[in-house]
Amino acid sequence: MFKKSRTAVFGILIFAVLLVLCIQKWTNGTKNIAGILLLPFSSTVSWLGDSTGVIGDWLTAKKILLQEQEQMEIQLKKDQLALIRLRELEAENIRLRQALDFRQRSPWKIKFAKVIGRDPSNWWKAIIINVGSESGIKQNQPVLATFGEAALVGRVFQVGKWESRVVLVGDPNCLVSVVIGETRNSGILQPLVATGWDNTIVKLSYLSGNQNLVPGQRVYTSGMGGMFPGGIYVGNIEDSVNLEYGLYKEASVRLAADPNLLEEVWVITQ
Amino acid sequence: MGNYAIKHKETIFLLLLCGGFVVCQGIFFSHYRVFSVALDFIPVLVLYCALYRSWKELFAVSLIGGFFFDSLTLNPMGVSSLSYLIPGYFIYCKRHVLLYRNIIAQLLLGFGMGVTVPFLVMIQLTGLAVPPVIDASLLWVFIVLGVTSAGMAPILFNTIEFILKHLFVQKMYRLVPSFRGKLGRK
Repeated sequence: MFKKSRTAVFGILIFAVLLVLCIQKWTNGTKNIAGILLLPFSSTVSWLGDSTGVIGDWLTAKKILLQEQEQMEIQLKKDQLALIRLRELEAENIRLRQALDFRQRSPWKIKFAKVIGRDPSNWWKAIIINVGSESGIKQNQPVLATFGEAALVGRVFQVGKWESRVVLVGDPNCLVSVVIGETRNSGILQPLVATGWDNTIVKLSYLSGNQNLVPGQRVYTSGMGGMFPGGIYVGNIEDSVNLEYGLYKEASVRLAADPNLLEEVWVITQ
Repeated sequence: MGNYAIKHKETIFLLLLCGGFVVCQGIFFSHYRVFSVALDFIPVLVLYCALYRSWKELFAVSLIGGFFFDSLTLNPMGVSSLSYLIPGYFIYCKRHVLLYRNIIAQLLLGFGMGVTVPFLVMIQLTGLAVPPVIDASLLWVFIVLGVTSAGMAPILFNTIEFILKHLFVQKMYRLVPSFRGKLGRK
């Protein structure tokens, strides 16, 4: 009797999950609810991350009281730590200055966003940003990052109320039509491998075979398809191979916006 | 009554652990990858529930863990839940014939669960409009996930048992003398 009810519950659960899977509208709704439920966990983890520094400082102070003879040595270590922190702040300052400068120069209306998470699965390449429909973010809006100059990161894939998921260039959900700056040869950026061996390399396919490709040539968005505006810097050619007896070429492109280093991004809202 | 209260607390603890794991995976392991692979500890937690806990807890952890995980990824909602539920329930039904307190069995079950879950997810994702890229590099992902899950299984099982024993059961042992008999039989 008990076993029967257990199996029945199992069957009902499988059915319910399949129903959620099949109905796309429910999928997005449940995803938003689960995201909201996860908020306390993520806030706690962020708070723990912030407070580790405070705990570290407190322990150091205690050590100074206990070991006065080593005070100078500890002071030196503290200074070194402060120097590291200052360097970090300096780097952040430079990054934010570049971003601010980009905002002033940008021909588009853009929205600043912080990266708050990454896709924990091994087959998708995506990030989560801290802006959503409340901030005017919509699906398919292009996302950029500034590493010295603005470079394409990906596009908004799913929009929640307070956060959005961005698929990165190199994910199967983010194919980009591009041109090579020098030759004006156009092609499509596609994922190179399924896993994250090297997230910064993607495949450039459908190039005509009669063009000379040189490593280092710059790749820009072509503007075709209407999703990404033309002329956004994407990356540089790494190497190329002839396919089908030289009928067409395939190249690997190193992305300018390293997905592993993304901390702040810009969403083009208009 | 007290026994039920403990059971509920243990279930809540397992669900909190599940949420914590998902957030840690989303924040740390998705960024700091081990051998280029983002680790997943939920299958080991599901395995623990399948081997040591009731079917209700197994279903709760599988469903909620899967939903939490899918909410952070591009997976359609429910893909991970199904992939946790099916092998979890199978192991639960067969656990009376498994020597699951033996460390070798735990390692093997951990490896099996670590490989089966991503495999089932991949099978479901191939039916999507835009499926993920499937190539030989996924084999490496399965191997790393299998090995890490195998390594994690005995550690996690013993840690959770230790925590549950000291957090909830010991309190009950002190409070209700009649509970000693039950503990002894267990």
